Amino acid sequence: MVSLGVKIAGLSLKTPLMAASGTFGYGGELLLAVGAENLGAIIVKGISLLPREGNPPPRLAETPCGLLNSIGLENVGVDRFIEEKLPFLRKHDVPVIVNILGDTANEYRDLAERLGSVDGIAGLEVNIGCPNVEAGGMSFGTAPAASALVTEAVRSVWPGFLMVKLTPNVTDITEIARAVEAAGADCLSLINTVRGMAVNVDTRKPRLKNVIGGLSGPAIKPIALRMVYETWRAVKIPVVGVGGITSALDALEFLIAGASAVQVGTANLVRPTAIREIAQGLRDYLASRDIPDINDLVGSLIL
Amino acid sequence: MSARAYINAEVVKNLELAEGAYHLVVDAGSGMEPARPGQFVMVRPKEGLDPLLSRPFSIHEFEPRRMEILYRVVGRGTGLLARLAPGQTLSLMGPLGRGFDTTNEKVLLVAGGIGVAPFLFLARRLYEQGNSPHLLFGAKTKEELVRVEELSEFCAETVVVTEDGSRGEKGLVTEYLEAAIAKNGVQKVYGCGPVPMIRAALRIIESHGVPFFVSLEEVMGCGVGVCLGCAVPRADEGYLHLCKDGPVLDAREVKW
Ligand SMILES: Cc1cc2nc3c(=O)[nH]c(=O)nc-3n(C[C@H](O)[C@H](O)[C@H](O)COP(=O)(O)OP(=O)(O)OC[C@H]3O[C@@H](n4cnc5c(N)ncnc54)[C@H](O)[C@@H]3O)c2cc1C
Ligand SMILES: Cc1cc2nc3c(=O)[nH]c(=O)nc-3n(C[C@H](O)[C@H](O)[C@H](O)COP(=O)(O)O)c2cc1C
Ligand code: FES
Repeated sequence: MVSLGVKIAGLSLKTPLMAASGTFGYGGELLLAVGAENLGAIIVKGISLLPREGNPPPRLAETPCGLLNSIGLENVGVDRFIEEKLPFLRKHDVPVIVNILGDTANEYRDLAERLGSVDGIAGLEVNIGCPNVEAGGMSFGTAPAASALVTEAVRSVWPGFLMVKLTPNVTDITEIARAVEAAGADCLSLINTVRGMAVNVDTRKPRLKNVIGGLSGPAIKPIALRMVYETWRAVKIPVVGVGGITSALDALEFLIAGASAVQVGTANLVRPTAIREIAQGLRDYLASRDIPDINDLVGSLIL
Repeated sequence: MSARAYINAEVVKNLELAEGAYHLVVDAGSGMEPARPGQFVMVRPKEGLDPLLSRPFSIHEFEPRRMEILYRVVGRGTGLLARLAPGQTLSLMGPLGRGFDTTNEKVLLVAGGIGVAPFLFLARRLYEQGNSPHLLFGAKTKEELVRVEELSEFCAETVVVTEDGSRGEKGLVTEYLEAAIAKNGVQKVYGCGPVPMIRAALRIIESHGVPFFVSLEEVMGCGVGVCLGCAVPRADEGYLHLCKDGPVLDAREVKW
């Protein structure tokens, strides 16, 4: 028997595989296809204080081994999430992590406070890749001070598991990572999508109505891996790797490069059973190499 | 397994019916749940990560094990699909989405080009219920009137329209819509085809106060409601999600 269990900042997960925000809905659709025993945690679609409509279509464009999306953070809002989505999620033996987003640091704080008043939430993931409305729309996550501000705002009302999700659209991710660590985050997840674009040469129109979107999938995996490695060396808190993981071998690369756990995103769209298959692949890998515990691999990179 | 997993299916037939228009028949084994007319499948023509996403197609005809689609080659995914030969496998997930309502009312089907795809299954179902629909089918040329023979067997009446006049009436389907509704006492219209056709048809059908349900297209990511990629603007505000709320929608619910 091999063990896939991991513990990150006090949170125990049955496997190191979390479902990444925005690629697993609110859990109901795919949980049964994956099986609770294979899922470390479900990170639900990003939630804001008020519902958001999202962007006009087309919202998706496929690129070589990649997917551009401009969903525009469409979500049902925190109240409907609590009333309609959380009861289903609570029934399953899988930690629920709520991904939160806001226009201002105060909105993030109010959201965390509201979510702190209900049962069944194992932790928060703070998406700091959103435009900071009070600072001319520049993303919080691109400036160390703004990243720290949001983290502190959430920390001030949320004593539990707090993961901050970093955007790769920065010059030096370690600078942001250190600022967020100092502001009280328990762990970091990275990366969010990479800003990108595609053009239809027949119509000369952008393939996304929003013109620019976020790139995900295998195309971004080397970027994500590099950033996880750099960040892991720069901070003391655990790092959760995200970006382009579609197989057990991909997940292993991240664990070896320093990630304590990983998130699987776009792969869930490609195959709803992706996380189940990756979990099985990890078990097979450990068994075939007589490695009893997945934790033995974390940060085992040989230079 | 549930509809939330891909299964392998063996190609039985993959025939080019007209230039760029193909009829694919697969043996889906016992792994596919029974489908309803108007539902769709996500199809992955080849293993691997490029192309990354599956492609959505309406179910053209369905019997246990046997699933058919009718498709036009427009890009990479459909191009790969066209290269599959009998005996090869593809993977698919479905049936997905909500299909057509098949209550017994007088139904008119309005199809444009490859948009005829979902109507064979629907027409047969209505025919078996003793409620053969009327069909108005338009295309550019007579070659593009694919599967019209098979379809008309299940229809009370078939009117074909070609832009070049090579078969049937000459012109656009919408020019013959008015007459088709009035003459047959139609109580409900189902449409599938290019958006300009649907838009023009909607104006005419609305003026008759007849409900109009359309099978729409939008780029899809997951096909199962998790990515929110397949947004279609609602008439009032916000978005419908085609893979869950559709692909068949009440035309009045949509902002055109
Ligand atoms: C519910 C549903 C049912 C469909 N049923 C059928 C069917 O029965 N027969 C059929 O031939 N086609 C059908 N389509 C359209 C089909 O999915 C697209 O033609 C296909 O995905 C194109 O893939 P590609 O890789 O060949 O083209 P790509 O290289 O991806 O794109 C080529 C061109 O097709 C457009 N396109 C891409 N995806 C879609 C899409 N989902 N809808 C419309 N245009 C798209 C692109 O914008 C581009 O201009 C359906 C679509 C949906 C959403
Ligand atoms: C359709 C889609 C929606 C997403 N929505 C969110 C979101 O709401 N919040 C968030 O923090 N990240 C969101 N992401 C980013 C993913 O969680 C993940 O960070 C990114 O896609 C990279 O991982 P991947 O390559 O495995 O998909 C979304 C990604 C996709 C493809
Ligand atoms: S295609 Fe993903 S939600 Fe509809």
